[in-house]
Amino acid sequence: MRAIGAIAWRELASSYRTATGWVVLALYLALSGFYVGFAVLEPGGPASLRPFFAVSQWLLLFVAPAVSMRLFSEELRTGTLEPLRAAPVGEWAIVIGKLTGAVAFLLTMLAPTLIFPLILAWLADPEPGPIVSGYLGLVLVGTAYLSVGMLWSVTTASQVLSYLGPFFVFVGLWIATGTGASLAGPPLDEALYALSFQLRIRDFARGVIDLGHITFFLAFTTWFAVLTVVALEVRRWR
Amino acid sequence: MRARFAAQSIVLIALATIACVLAVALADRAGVRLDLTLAGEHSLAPQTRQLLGSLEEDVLVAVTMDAAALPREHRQQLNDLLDAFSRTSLRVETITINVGSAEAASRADRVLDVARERFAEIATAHRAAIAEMREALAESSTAARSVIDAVERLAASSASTFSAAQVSAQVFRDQLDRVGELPPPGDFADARRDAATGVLTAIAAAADRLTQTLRVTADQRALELANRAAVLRDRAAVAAEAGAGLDPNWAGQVEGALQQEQVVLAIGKHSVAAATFESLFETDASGGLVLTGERVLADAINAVSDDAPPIVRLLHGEEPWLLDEQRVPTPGARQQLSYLFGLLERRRIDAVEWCPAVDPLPPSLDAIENAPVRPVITVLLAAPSDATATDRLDALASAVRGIVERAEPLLATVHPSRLPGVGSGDPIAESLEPLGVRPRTGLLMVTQQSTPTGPRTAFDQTATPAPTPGDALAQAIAGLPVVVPRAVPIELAPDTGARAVVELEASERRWGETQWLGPITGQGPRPEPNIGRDWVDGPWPIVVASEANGARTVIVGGPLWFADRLVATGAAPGNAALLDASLTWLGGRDDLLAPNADARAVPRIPALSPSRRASVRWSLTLGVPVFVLLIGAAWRVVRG
Repeated sequence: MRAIGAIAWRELASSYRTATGWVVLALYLALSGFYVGFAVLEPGGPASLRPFFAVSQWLLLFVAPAVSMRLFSEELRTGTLEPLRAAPVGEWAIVIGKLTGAVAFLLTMLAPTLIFPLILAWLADPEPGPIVSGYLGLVLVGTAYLSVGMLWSVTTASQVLSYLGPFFVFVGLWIATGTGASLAGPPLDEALYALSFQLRIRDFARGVIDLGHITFFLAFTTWFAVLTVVALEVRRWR
Repeated sequence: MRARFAAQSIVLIALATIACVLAVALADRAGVRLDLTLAGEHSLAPQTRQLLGSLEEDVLVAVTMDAAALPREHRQQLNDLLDAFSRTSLRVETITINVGSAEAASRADRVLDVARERFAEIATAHRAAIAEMREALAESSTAARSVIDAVERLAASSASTFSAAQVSAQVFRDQLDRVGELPPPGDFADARRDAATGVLTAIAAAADRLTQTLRVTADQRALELANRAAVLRDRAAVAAEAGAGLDPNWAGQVEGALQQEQVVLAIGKHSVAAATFESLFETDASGGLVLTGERVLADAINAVSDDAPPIVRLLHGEEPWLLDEQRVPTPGARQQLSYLFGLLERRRIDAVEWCPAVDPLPPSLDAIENAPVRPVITVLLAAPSDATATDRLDALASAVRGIVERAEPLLATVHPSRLPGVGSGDPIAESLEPLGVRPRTGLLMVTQQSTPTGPRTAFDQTATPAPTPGDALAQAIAGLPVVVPRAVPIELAPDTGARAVVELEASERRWGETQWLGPITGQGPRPEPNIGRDWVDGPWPIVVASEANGARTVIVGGPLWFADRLVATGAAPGNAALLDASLTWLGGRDDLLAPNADARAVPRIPALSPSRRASVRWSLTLGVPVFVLLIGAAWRVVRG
């Protein structure tokens, strides 16, 4: 557990050690702030952050791979992965530690956006429930994105590929579970809809916490973490 | 070693996959959901859940809409609501058809396919009936012209004997000339069926008239022709009857409804209910649009799954004017009471008109399907408009007294009356007293208002009822303004089961005025409260519910509270909710009483000055990111 904590802290600290981390953070805040300021806080409109949560899942699509691309690719490029693996920690601890560090970065990225509900509360009287559930949804979907990015980064030393890979995976998943599902028709559409992030996040954004959705995102993350562990093992046996 | 590792990896991935899929499937199936909205916006009312849980047959709910014309938040709310319905009951399937989308046609086809499948037998019967009518018409036309020609030849030989027959023959010929060939029977041809039925009925009538006139002549040749005409008459009448006796062609109605731009359809196994798309929304007290579709959808689903919707007797003191002989609202009635009739149609409530001034007995319900098992609600709409028509007033009061004695459900409207002012009792008010209520129809609620031009007396009263836990009827209208023009206060007798549903709050500027006739006609002096004469201590109940003697009654003190100018325009959302909820409650369907629009109101962002708006926008867009970058820069400087 201590090893996981140490790896996570190292990841988080390294994210802010380079300018990239701060730029990614500022870019995310600028884009989401622009959307909230110009599209959500409309006089006469509903005092709700639901549109922000809907858009944030798209913004995270661009931001999450930028966070995850460094997780292993950087170590592979600089050759620091082998010393890490030589340390008395297993693959599981490395993977969980790195994922925890990335999620911690995600949380620090979302933390400044709490100014949005504060401003909303200053202007109107929004319902707190949907805001709480919306943030929970963002953390869960962000973690799922990071887990896919982490798997991709363990497969290549190129950070560009580590960024583009998960990005296109999610775009593909988005299309398959949206337009693709409606074109496929029954019975395939049911399975595709079940994989849809969009449908599940919608519930969080409107103030509904569904056990099925939480389980889905946790299972999704776990599955990719398992694949990452296996991918790390494969590197050892190559 | 490698093979062993590969096998281990495959097993690990397989186990992880199975565990993840199982966990998600189980959690999805568990359906554990937490609604964090304060008003339970994403939770259906317990009553609605009960209705959905009790469904024994599948219901398809289709909503066609122009999504581009609907504000984003309302579109979301509607989708959420439909989701909630389909999640709550496996019996309910919902489909939204956005008329502007590429998928609109395929979705409409899906709805139509369901309707065609469910009502295939009726459609087959319709096709058969139309084919039969076409055949009858073709045969009748040829044979009839032959008979008419023969009659005209007879008339030419002896004009005086057959003059009447000649006229009838000419009428018959005119009738035939007006009839073209019926179009081929389509799959969904309710209108064609009705047209064909009308044509054949007219031909049967013309043939009957010719038969009668020919028989009068007592001429052997004429009698022979009369027999031929009678055969034609019977053939046409039988064919017309075959068409008239059919069930409504529901699939055809679905097809017609889908051609409208925005409509809500509930398609059950045996019938279809429709509502306008606009009925899914109401205007709240602040003028904003509020989704209230839960009640409308629940009504529609209930209508197609309820075999015994109520029957409403529309009781009033005038001559019949609301419904025609087919119980269809007359144009005049629909013009003034479109909301009321729309509500009845939406809930598949049959209506009959009862005018005691014409017939003291209640109208027969024999022509209404399943009438013996359906609850009958009497709606007392209005007293005679002519205050001197005491015979009409007495007849109406007698009818009300009978309803009260028989302990039948009653929604009564009471009017201000001049009779108590001259020392006589108001017979309508007196007939309600056994219910534990005493409408003080001799009083009129007035409110003194201050205006820039001086004091003014208002005769229309508005009350916004507070939530009353435990009273389903009151809860259904809680928070919605109820407007009652010329309101009459209603006194409640203690311990009789009567309770106030809407009260006018106590105010020094409001009282029940006895001397109201002059002020209301603008002829008398401005009224002032008189403690000895007027009812000055509020609150004053103006809507009362009673369950005395086991009979449910709702009494509204004040006329025309259900008129379109109040309920159809959104001017008084409480009135519309009161009308709807009263019929539901009186019909014994407490399970359908849902929370009203007020509970669904969405908090809104207030107007902002341009400078404030700009500062908020740019603070969020640039201020926060720049601040974060500055922290980053400082961090790098400090930590190196």
